[in-house]
Amino acid sequence: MSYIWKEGEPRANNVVDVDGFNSEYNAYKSMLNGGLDRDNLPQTSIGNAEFVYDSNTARTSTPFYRADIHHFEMNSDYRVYSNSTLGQHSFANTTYAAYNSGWIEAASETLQCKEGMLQIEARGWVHLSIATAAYYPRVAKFQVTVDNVPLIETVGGYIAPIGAFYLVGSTPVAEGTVRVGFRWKYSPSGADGTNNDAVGYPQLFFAGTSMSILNRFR
Amino acid sequence: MASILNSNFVAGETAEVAATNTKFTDVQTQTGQLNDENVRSESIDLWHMDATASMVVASASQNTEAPGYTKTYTTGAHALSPLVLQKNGNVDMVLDMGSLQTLEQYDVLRVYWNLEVTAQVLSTGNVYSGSVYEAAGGLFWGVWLQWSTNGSTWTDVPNQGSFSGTTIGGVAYNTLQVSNTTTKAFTPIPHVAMYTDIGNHDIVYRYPHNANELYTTGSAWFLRPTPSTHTYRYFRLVLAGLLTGMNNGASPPVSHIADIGPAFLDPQGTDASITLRRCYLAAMHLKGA
Repeated sequence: MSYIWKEGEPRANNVVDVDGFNSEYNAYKSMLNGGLDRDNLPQTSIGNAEFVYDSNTARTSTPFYRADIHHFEMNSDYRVYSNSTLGQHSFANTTYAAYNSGWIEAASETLQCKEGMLQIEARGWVHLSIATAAYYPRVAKFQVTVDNVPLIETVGGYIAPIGAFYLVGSTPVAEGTVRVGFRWKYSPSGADGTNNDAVGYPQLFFAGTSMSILNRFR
Repeated sequence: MASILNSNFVAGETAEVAATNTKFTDVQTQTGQLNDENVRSESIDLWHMDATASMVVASASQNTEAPGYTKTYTTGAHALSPLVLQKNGNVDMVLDMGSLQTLEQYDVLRVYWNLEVTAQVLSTGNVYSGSVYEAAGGLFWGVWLQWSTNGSTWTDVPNQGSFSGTTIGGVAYNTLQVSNTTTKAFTPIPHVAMYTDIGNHDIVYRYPHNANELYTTGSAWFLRPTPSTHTYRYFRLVLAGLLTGMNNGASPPVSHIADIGPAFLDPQGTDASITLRRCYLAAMHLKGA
């Protein structure tokens, strides 16, 4: 508990004792020099005015959490399969002519965090073309990174021809800017012993992707 | 940070009025320089909040109620008039937030759903012929989220688009153009039959391939309006099928979800169907951040 202000010495008709004065005065000093606590602030002293969002700093002064919702799609330079012919139509999937292997980052978002927990959710849907696949099943994986460190990854990957995906995870964060990334990966081209995958056929497509990022303060 | 650095009086010296006043003037001056470094960690908590400590503005959930309740939907439910997912008693499964809610800018609204596929009926044939089935973009059902202020007039939620007439490759379809603002509340469910060989009219069973292979899926929808505001009270899920993926053949290509439900018949001439049970829908509205 911090020092409580009160009417102190010296008073009229009292002899001022130097140690008494110093003791009383130094208590004030020490409280001000970093010792203020809840007892120095009145109850309900923080109201709506302090909770209002500040558009200049693009952050809220509400001392509970910070949040962002980020919407994005698959990288446009991988959405290359272009064919409207009946029987060959598909989404604008990536092809092996465009995708080789490895992780590809689709989007990232930064959030000014305070010390606490960071919860991240990612949703979307994914299509894996099984048409004319020389090697199947193929696998799509998705990963959420925090400051480029993998935090959440789909276990085993998605193999259904089409479906929804949803990832969620939490991590402790320190105060400062945190970068959250979303990336994807797909099986490299394969062969069935006779045929190799054609590089121009549709392979992977995903869309409807959103990330919810919540920083709950400690 | 406010900081007072003056020194103590020394015993035996005379305390002048000016020196004494200076010490109190220091306090007066530095009080105006207070900042977060003067305040102890965690020194501000709920005691100081003006009864607004909860992050949650509103939350609610809904489900199909009876665990064994199932409902079968057929391809007659095409995308321009999708079927509403139903609950026990064959009534629409509607999530009611209890009162009209205002989603202020920077509020965070999250809605989650989950459902279980118990059967997708096909007859004995596993090879279809006919151009409409040649869907390298997959065959799937679509479930998406709608909301309402009054429970009678419904619209697709923001960032979920609606189907409309589109011609692709010379054929007219009802499609939903895929963009960053059109499928954020969309959940595809794979159909049991999948086209596997471009140009060879071949469709085989894929996933899940029989009624004993239950398939559970779910998704979520997030909205943090900046700067617009919304009012809402009710949510529901709707379903349409069968759908497939297409693109317009342009460069760069634009993807579409195309509704081929009205044309889709299995080799015996019956509609494709899907049976759902244990559907869950939940919403949480957090105050702005």
